[in-house]
Amino acid sequence: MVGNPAEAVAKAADEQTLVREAQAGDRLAFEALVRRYDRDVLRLALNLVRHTEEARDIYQEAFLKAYKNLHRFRFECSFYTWLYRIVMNVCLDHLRRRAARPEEQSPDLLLAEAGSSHVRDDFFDRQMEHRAQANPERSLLGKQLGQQIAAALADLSPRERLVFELRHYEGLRLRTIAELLGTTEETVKNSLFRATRKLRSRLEAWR
Amino acid sequence: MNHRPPEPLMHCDAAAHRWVLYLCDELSATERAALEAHLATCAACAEALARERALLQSLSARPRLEPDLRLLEQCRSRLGETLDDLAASARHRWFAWLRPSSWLAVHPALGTALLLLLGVTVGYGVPYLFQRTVDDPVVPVLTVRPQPSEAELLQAQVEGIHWLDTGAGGTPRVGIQLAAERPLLLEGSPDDDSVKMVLMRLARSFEQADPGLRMESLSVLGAERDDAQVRQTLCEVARKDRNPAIRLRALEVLRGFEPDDTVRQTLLDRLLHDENPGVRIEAINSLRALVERAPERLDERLLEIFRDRMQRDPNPYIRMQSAAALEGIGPREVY
Repeated sequence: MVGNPAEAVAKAADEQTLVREAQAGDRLAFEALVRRYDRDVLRLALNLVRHTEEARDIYQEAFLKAYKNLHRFRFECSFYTWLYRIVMNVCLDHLRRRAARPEEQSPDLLLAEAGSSHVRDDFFDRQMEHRAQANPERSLLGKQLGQQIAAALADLSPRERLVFELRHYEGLRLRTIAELLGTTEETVKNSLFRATRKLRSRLEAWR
Repeated sequence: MNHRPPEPLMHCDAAAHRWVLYLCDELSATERAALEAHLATCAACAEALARERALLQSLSARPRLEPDLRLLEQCRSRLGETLDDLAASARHRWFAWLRPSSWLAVHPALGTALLLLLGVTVGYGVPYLFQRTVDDPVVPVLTVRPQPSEAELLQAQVEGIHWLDTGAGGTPRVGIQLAAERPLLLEGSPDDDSVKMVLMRLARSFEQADPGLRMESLSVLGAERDDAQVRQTLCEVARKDRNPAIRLRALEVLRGFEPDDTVRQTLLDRLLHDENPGVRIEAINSLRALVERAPERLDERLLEIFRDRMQRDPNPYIRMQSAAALEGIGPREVY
């Protein structure tokens, strides 16, 4: 984040230079652009799909598309917006493919099985570990609720899932989400409303 | 004070549609005020909103996954490798396109036409290119063996004159680069007939040939001043060339041959008629040298010209030298 307006202007000018150099075929300039945003992209992918390999695929596909289509970027919006539109489309495609293959929908389980040190353990697992001696029963319930939330999120449509993720977890404004998804703010509101209603219905028993 | 009209009372269904946006802080100030007014009067909606808030809090409690540096570096490395592959395959595509089989198979007719065009171009273009290459003075190595014919020499244009290494007998050798129907390099000593013929023709081509080449030809011909034909040529140049430097050079080359009638007549002519004082000075010096070396050649015609120049020549040096020649005294030009 750049708080200082002068720094923001300097960063934008620097970014414009990098984009132009990358468009001229400068590979290092493109890699510099990748490094500005790739952590955020990977975080979004990881939290959306909760699967390390799939997150890697999303990262790869998104930046590869950006590289191949960089010559089409005309500075009509910020590079961040342009890049994230690509990322959004790639994420939606992955979620749609996953929806078409229900057997692959156990993201949190896959993360747990992977046992990767780079991925945090489930919040509810940690709750259980930290408070096991204090209240084992509550920890078990917490873990079960976590699984229910994961299942409820997995039941959302790809667009609803993405909107909910971007609004509740990434903290983006609805107007920004609409811009990134190439749609209207009203449509995004409707997606968010439907997502919340589905989650409420699914998690009713746990409240 | 500005009083805003009161918002109409909100229905419970309408309020339910706004809970999510209210909790996300996405409502406008007006909508927020209207919803809060409704919640203040509707216990059921207030309770439903509390449940909604609890739901979102539960969802928000879901842990966020943060990619660590190792995963990030793995992704960057994989992307870098793919970009490398892309660049390599792009190069490969270009090279593949250069292979005739790649496009001949797809467009046989077009490919055949292109091959024919390529053949015709190479057939006509390559000899032309070779000819252009020989025109380049940097490549005089296309020495013609055997030596060019006389007809070729008569038609050839001289493009360069170079002194070569001294021959076996210590004789200087010269190379003359010629442009004819075929590129020629004439090599030989200045006394070779072919060399002399080409150089004399060059010296006489007063306005056509390059002045530098004409000047150089006089220097080479100077080595053959014993040849009457060469002297005749040098005298002709001294009389007719429009370039005073070349006329002067011709007279310089003829130094020592003043007793020769042709040379003597040329010197007298130049002293009387050359508009360039440098040429006239060279002429008077040569004539004075002649008088010094061969007093018997001082005839009436020569004395008359000296008298004329002593009185009329606009150049004081010439007037002085003319007077000195008449008196049999005066400064001598030392060569």
